[in-house]
Parts: sequence; structure tokens; C-alpha cells
Amino acid sequence: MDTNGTDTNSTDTSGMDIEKHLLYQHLFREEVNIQDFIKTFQAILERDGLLDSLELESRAPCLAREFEDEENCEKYHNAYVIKTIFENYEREDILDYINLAQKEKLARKIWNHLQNENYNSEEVKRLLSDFSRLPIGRSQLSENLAIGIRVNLINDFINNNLHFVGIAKNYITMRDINDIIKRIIGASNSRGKIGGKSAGMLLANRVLMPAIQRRPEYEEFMKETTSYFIDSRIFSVFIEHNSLEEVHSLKYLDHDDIDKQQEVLYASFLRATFPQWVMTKFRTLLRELNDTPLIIRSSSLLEDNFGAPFYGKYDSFFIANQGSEDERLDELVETIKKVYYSIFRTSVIAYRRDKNLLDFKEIMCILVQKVVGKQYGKYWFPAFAGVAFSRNIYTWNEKIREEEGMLRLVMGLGTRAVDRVGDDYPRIVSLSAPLLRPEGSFEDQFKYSQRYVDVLNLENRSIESVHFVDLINEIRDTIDPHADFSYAVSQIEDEQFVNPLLVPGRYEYGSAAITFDTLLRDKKFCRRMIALLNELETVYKTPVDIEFAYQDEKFYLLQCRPLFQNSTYFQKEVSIPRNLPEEDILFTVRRGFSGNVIVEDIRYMIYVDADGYASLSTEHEKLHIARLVGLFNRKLKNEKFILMGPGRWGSNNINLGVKVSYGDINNSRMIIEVAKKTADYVPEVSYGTHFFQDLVEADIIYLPVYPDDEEVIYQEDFLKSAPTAADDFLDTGRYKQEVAPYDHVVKLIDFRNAGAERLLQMYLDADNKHGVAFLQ
Amino acid sequence: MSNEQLNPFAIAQSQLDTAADILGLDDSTRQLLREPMREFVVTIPVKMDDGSTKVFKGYRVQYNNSRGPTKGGLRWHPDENIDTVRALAAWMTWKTAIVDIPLGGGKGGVTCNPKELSETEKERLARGYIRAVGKILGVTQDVPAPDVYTTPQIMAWMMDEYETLRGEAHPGVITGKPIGIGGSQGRGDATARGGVYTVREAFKALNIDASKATCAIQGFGNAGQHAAKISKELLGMKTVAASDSKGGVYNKNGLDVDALVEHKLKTGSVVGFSGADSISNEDLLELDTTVIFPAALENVITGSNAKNIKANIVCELANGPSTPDADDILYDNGVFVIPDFLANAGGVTVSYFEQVQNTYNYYWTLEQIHEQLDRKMTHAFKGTYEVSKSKSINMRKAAYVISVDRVAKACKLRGWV
Repeated sequence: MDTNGTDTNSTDTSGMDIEKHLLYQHLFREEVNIQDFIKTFQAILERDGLLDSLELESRAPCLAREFEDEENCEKYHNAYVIKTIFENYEREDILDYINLAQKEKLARKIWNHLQNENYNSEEVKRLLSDFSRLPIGRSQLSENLAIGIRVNLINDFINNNLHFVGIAKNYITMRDINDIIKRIIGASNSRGKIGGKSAGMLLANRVLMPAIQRRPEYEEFMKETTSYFIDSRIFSVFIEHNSLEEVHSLKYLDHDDIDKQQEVLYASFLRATFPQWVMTKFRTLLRELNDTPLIIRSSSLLEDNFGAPFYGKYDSFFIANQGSEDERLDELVETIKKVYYSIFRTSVIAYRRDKNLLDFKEIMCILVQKVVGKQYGKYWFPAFAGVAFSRNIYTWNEKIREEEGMLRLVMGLGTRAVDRVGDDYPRIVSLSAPLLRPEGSFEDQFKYSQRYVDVLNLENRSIESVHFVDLINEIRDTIDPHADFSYAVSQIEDEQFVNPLLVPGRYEYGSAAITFDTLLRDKKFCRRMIALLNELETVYKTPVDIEFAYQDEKFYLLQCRPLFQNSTYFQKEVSIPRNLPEEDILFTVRRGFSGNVIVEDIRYMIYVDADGYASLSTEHEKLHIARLVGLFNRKLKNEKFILMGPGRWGSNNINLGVKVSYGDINNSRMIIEVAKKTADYVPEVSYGTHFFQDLVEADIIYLPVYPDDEEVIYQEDFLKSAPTAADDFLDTGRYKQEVAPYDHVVKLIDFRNAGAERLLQMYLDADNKHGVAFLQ
Repeated sequence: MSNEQLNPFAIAQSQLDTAADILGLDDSTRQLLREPMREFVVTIPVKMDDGSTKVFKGYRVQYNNSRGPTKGGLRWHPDENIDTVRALAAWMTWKTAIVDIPLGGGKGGVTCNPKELSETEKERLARGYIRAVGKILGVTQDVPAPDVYTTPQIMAWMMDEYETLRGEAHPGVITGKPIGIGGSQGRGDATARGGVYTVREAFKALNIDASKATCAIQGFGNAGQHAAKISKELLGMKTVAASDSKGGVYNKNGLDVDALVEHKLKTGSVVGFSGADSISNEDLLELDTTVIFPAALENVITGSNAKNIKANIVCELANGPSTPDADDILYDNGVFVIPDFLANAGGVTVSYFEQVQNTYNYYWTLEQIHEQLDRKMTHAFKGTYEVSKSKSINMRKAAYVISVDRVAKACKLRGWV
């Protein structure tokens, strides 16, 4: 209470300093209801044991009698409370309590409004704005009042998903909501929502950087990019204004009919217009944002919600936002309409049907963000960007801990990290061992590196992929080569990546590579990422993934949602069907995998038999098996199939496994390594194959099976006795000559035939270390 | 027993036996050459980053030092074992002998997975290895070099540890060092350049007009790219096809090699190169070209496709690209094979030059390196070709015969046998 360390109990009223008198004046500086303050003060005095309400009840009438003013007992009651406050607290505390009293007054008003279902939202916004103008202060609103108000406001202005509100109420304050509301583009006197993606981004930033009880460790590292929200009302207005109401029932048509209408629908969306008042709002928005490039992101009500993340289902677009104001407005409006249209796309409707979300009235809100980055010559892009996962499903080595998460890092815009481009590779970072790479040799590390950088070309106003060597050579004059790219780009000398003192005048292809070695060698970045992901996971009570960008030593968190593994098959949770008849189970696994996976309705398996393979006496024959696997892989290009065989697929040591290359297995959904003890050796399974990253990029799941473990099922007899269907795919001559002699070693199992019209189902529950493959 | 047949050391011994039979070597020499002269198996404790200690097995095999200090690479691989190291040490003995450099053969390794080791753990392992085997290394004893998963950086740590133990400068104790601390010019393309020199000599021997010759390159990595460039530069030979793990490109009128190398470095693959058709790795081998350079993988020419090879010459830049059954088919069909340990001996030869320069503490220019390499490779080819002709055996057998003969003679001169 006393910042000078003097004894606060020796208050001398006669010597009450001038400061306190000034405070009196401050307290009564305008027409105020003294009662608003008394309630707050009385609660503080009681909290600190300086006042007993019962005692006060009896004392106030006494005082009134003393002054012969019994009519105004309340006045003496109040005077006593104020006197006690001023006697017992120092100036700073008193100011804080006055502030608290003012906050409580406004908060109660807001609360009272919110109790009316048809409250006046403009009035609430005004009160919220008044509230936010008050200093934060040290003393906070009582929790029940604050949370009560937050829950209402979050529900009404941000997102009403129960799980979301349950978390957000502890992190998104009234001030935050005021700040958000100011950046919402919506209809006056209405309550629109801002959608799941915006909500997720706001929440994650608030978790790490709360407005009260600030966290310097994150604040020095993180920054927020300017964001605006076009709310759900604008979407409804757009639909009404253009009489497009019928589109909402489109989803109930069958797949082909929806498909047929797409072109017409897209055209009608592009033709549609916004009412003038909305256009005025968009124009104002552009004036506030200036001509910085923007990303126009979908943020539908269903998107990024807990349970069904609409990962990449809806469209987001970068716009260069260059040129005259009218040009910029045209570009913005057209882009918004494209994003709107994306909720009616056939693939989206099919996805919603799968997830039982069809009946929900999906509405598109939009998140408008400044693109993190800076201008380099004619290009705009962030130093680097990427996706981070709080769980690492690729624990290919014992140093990699699943719970410490992983990154997919790229130089430039994050689009390359989010999507799988196939022939170009983001740097995959296991946060617990950031410098470890599954590629062993220099040549492989060079091969599996990012070459092309996604950038916004401000001149022709489009996204381009530019080779990083060309890019750096072109923008050399505009960059500080040490500061801007040295953390990402390594140079190549003596077949090694090095970071020399001098940056060359010109880069050549093959003389440098994007490795992020410098960034990752400095442990600070990875430690922060681990802490940040861990914190979000703890708060969200579920693993999460985030999108981020990085520029000028600052980290921007752009999106956060419950983990969806950037893969078709990974699930948040997998519950293994119970009571499966044992005879339907092909095998079970109890260790060696991470990630919850479901792959359903697998029709084919390329199966290499361990004993058959070991019995081959020459290298030539073993190589032939690899060629046959490659042949089947090509023939099954359009089928759903998996691969199962002994030991280490792709090993250079032909005795340890079938020596396939990536091109021999690339169409498979899954590769299974059977680590079965044989007379001579126990194959050591390994995820660290030289084509590891190809597997990741191609979304091929890896699974080791240990048939000798206790309590596992492995129906080897079924696999051994199943007939091969290889002759269905090959002409008889070729089959007889090349394949038939090796039917006992490698075969193509058609489960529809071998499993009596059933298909193989694969369920992997990593949380409980239980996986099962069964026929159904 | 299947694994016995594929045991690399057993294969190496059987290859020696074939040469010994042709030479009619006496039993005692044969017995001496069938086994390594010295083997070291060491246990290396390494403090890991997490504070624990991990124990690694290391090896160094000095197969035969009758012609000089042993020389050979160090491999770090999880599947490494003494049999592999023995076999490779034997092959190094024949390789140094075929190019007639005054060195014996050796090899070393550590059973470990470098992908699982951090940089600091790798450094501690490198230094631990030298502390364990340093006593038997040295420019007059045994000189290691980079091999599978060991890099110039690892060589530099090892040299530093060795010099620390000795308390004096010994740059020649290890080769393949970065140029800044005693590495040699010309190491980057030594293997390919050596191979192209042998092709040039083969053209002369077989009366092939180099200016009309074409080649196909399977494996457009470091060696493959250099082979294409040097073939053009030295012989004016056209490269008509090239491939890598993603696929291949083909243009019967010749590919623009410089542009193709640039495309590969730029995109990571030859695939998508303009002005060429695509071709599979399998089909590339069967093209009707003058030369094929298998430059990447083992066992690509096998009993099943050897009969389809139409090229006049197969120059084996990679190790072991042909299986033994393929070898016989190729010979019968008149395909001239320049065997791996002759064709790719340019690497070890320049390593030897590095050692020589280190000893003199005087460094050659790139031109000097090329000139010396040409001399060594040409001499080696000519010798092999003559034996192949005179004994009517294939080039691989001829190369073995010469090497084994040279080593056997050295052993005899020393009075060992």
C-alpha cells in the first residue's frame, strides 16, 4: 500500500496531505453517483479486514445522531467508508480503487444490457469503448462479472462454439473485444460473427500475449499483424442484395447436380454486387490499410472449430493491393466474392456431408490481414513462414520426442509449407532435435531442400514461385544479405553446407541451399516454439497446429486450431472398433508408431513374404523382387493399396529389406515394415530411409509391425496362403515369365477376393498405443 | 546359406581366387592375400548431448601394406560390420595397385547412424575414433579419407585430434580435407575425370571416333554431371541421355550438358528439362549409345537386362553397378566394360596427390593435378587392356590380375612369401 515504506497505520487526519484533498476532488470531479464508489470501496475495506459491514451498520446511525442529522444516515455511512479508505491507503492505491469503481460501474451497465435478448448493440459497443478507455489498473473486476460479460460478448460477436467460448472466456478480455469490434466490418446495430479462423487466431494470440498479466517472454518475440473482420451479416446482406438465397439449399442436391451448377453459380457470384453502404465500408478499410499487400482469408462459422477443421477446404487469396484506390477496391471486392463462393463448392459440400454438418447453416466471414513481410525490389514476402504442430508424428529416431512438436519451414510465403508441392521440400524440423535430418548424405540433404520461394509480385500483382538463387540475385541491392537470409541460406563448399563470413556477390545454382541451419543452430528459436506450442496445447486441451510467419526478428501467429495433421488420414482421435472377431483381424500393433490414423477400404496389398525373401539365394533375385514391387506399384496407380514386407524398405543392404526406390512405392497409401525375427537376423526397422521426406510429402503412412511381441496378432498364414491377383494386371506371358516364379515371395493380394468380399481397414490409436488392421 | 553367398568379404575373396588362378599364385601368397594383415576393432565411448554415454564399435582394417602405407575411407553406417570393412579394404588394395600408386589398401568404419547424431556428437565420435586408432594411423602407416556419411568436416576434426595427440602438424594423416586446411585442388571431379580419361583410351584401343561418339549417364549426381561435362570438354562427346532417381531425359541429337547441369542444380532433377523426351532409368541403359556411364547405384546391370545393352563401352563410375552374371553376358556380347575399380580410381589417385602435396607442404595447380591424373589413369588403362587382350579375359579380370600381381610381387620382394 505504501510505496515509500512508511508506516501506513500512523495516519494523521489533521496532517492529511494536500494530495489526498486533491484526490477528493478527483473523486467528485463531475456529476457522479457516490453510491457507485461506495460499493467498490466497501468491498475493498472488507477484503483487507479494515471494515466490518455489521459494525458499519450500527456505527452509521450513531454518527448521524452525533451530527443531529438522523434523516441522512446513508450520507454518514458513505462518509465513513470514504474516510476509512483515505486513512488507510496511499494515493496510488486510492486512484486504482477509484478506477476500479468506474470500471465496475460500466461493467454492470454492460451486463444489464446483455441480459436483454434484443439489446442495443451500438449502446453496448459505446459502453465497451468507454470501459476500454479507462486505465487497466492493478485491481480487476470480480471474476464472475468479468467472465459473465466476456462469455456474452464472445458468443455474440466472435464465435459461439461452446468449446471455444469455454477457453476464450479466460483469455479474451472486454478490452480485447472492444478492440476486435472496432475492426469488424458489419452492419450497424447488428451482431454478426467473425468466424472460426479469425476466432482461432485471436484466441491463440491472447493466450500467449494477454492484455492483462502481460508476458514479456512472448511479447519480445511475437507481434500481431493488422487484421480486420468482415462479419457474417455482410455475407447475409450480400446474399439478400443479390437474391441468391436459393444457394443455401443447393447442398441437398446430389453430388452430380451440384457439380453441374458450379459454373453458373461461380459466374453469378462474380456478377453480384454489394450495397453502397458496404462498399463505403470497404473503401474506408482500404484507406486504413494503405497499399500493403493483403491476404483475404475464409473464416466460416464452421471453420477451425473443434472437431471438424475445414483444413484447406475454403479458399484464401493474396492480393497485391496496388494501384489506384478504385483498382484496389475492385480487387478486394472480387476476391471477397470468390471466397464467398467457396462454401458452395462441390468438394466442400461433400466434406460437410461426410462430417454430418450439412444441416448447419454455413456462413462465410472474412479475415483481412496485412501480409507479414516486407518489400524486396518488386516482391513482397516474409523472411520465412511455416506450419507448426504441437505433436510430432514422425518420430523416426529416439531423440525425437513426439510431445515437442515439429515444423515445416519455408523461406517466403507459407503456402509451400501448408501445401505439399511434391517436388520441392520444406525443411521439416523436429523441435526436440532440430538439426537432425533423415537424409544422411550431403547429396540427399541438398536434394530434399526448398528451391522455389513463393512471393507476391507487386508489379504484376500475382503470386509467383521464384528460384531462391534468382530471387536473391535479383533483390541483392535491396537486402542486407547478412541479416535477411543468412539464417535460411547456407552456402556449399566441399560438399558441405557452410555459413561463411562473406556472402558471395552472386549466387549460382548449386552453390547454396535453403537449410535454415543458422536459425536452427541458435536454440532460442526452437525452445520458444516448443514452449509456445506446449502452452497452446495445454490451454486448448488438445494438440494444435498453427500457421506462422516471421519477419524482422518477430514471430506472427496467423492461425491456430486443433491439430489436423496436414494429411488425409491423421485424426484427432481414433477409437478402435470393439469386439472385432479375432478371425477378422489381420494384425495388431502396440508400439513404433505415432499419430492417430484411419485408412479405410484398402483393396490391395503388395505383400513380400519374409521367409520367401530370405530364401532367395542370389542378389539378382532379391533385386528382381524390388522390380516386381515397382511394377505392381505402377499397375495399381489408381487403386487404394498398401505395401507390406520384411525389414527396412529401401535399404541399401539388400539383406535387410527390399531395395526399392521411391518411384517403386509412390502410389501406395502406407508402407508396413514387418520386423520379424528370422534365423539369421532381426531386421531393424527405420523411418529414416533416404526417401523419408518423399513419404511425408506424398502422405504415405509408415508403420512397423512386430509379430514377435507379446499380445499381438499377426495372421501370417492368411497372408502366406492368400492367392495373388498379379495375373489380373499383367498379360499372361509376362506374368508367367517374370512374376509367377516368385509368387511365394511377392504377391498382390486382392482383399475382395482373398477376404471374402471384405476390404482391409486400418485403425491406429497412438494415444493408447494400439493399432489394428482388420477385414470388414 | 544365402547370407554367406552375399557376404561381401566372401565375394572379395572369390574375386581374388579367380585372379590368383589366372596368375597361378602359390598357396602361401594366396593365403596371405586372402586375409587382412592387421585388423583393429575398437570400442569408443561418446558423451551424448543429453549427458548419457553411448558406446560405439569402430574398425580399421589394414589389408595389405606391401606397396606402401595403407589407404582407404572411413564409413559411418548403421549396417557397418567387420566383413564389409574387410571386403572394402581388399578392394582398396587392388585399386591403389591398378593405378600404381605407392600405397596399400585399408578401410575403416564406425557402426553408427549419423542421421541420429548431432554435430557435436559427431565431432566427439570423430575425435574418439582417432584417440582409439590414432597410434596406427599416419602418413607412413595408414591414411583415412571420407566415405559413406563422412564429410570433409569430419576429416578436419580427425586431423585436428591427430595433430593434438602428436603435438605437431600432420596434414597428410587424412585426405579429403577442406582446401583451407590442406585439401587438394581437383578433388571434386576427380572420379569422373579419371573415368573419362579411361574412356578416351578405350576409344583409341577400340578405334572409335570420339567426335561421333555419344553417351548416356545413369545417375546425374556429382560424378554423372562431371562425366557429362568432361566428356564434352575433352572428347567432344555428346551426352544423349541422363537420369536420376526421379526419371530421365533423352535427345538423340544430344543434350545441352551445361544447361542440363544447371537445370538439375536448379530443380533438383533432370526431369522437365526442355528440348528432351523423357526416358526411364531402365530404358536409358538399353540405348544405342557408344558409352554408358552407370554413375549412381549398385546392381543396375543384371543378368536380366545385360543382354539388352547396346552400348560399346560401359564405364563404371559407381561402385558395383554390374552383377557378376551380367559381367559374363556383357563380355560375350562384346560390350567393353571399364571396371569400377579402374574407372573410378581417379578419386583415390587425387587423394594420393593430396597426401604428396601435404608432405611437401607445397601445393599444385589444378592443371598440374589434371596432368598427373591423366598420366596415372592412362597408364593404368593401357596395362589393363594389354593383359585383357593377351590373356583373353575381360577388363575386370585383367584389372584384378594386374593388381594382385603387383601386390604379390611386392610381398615377394619383401621376403614375406
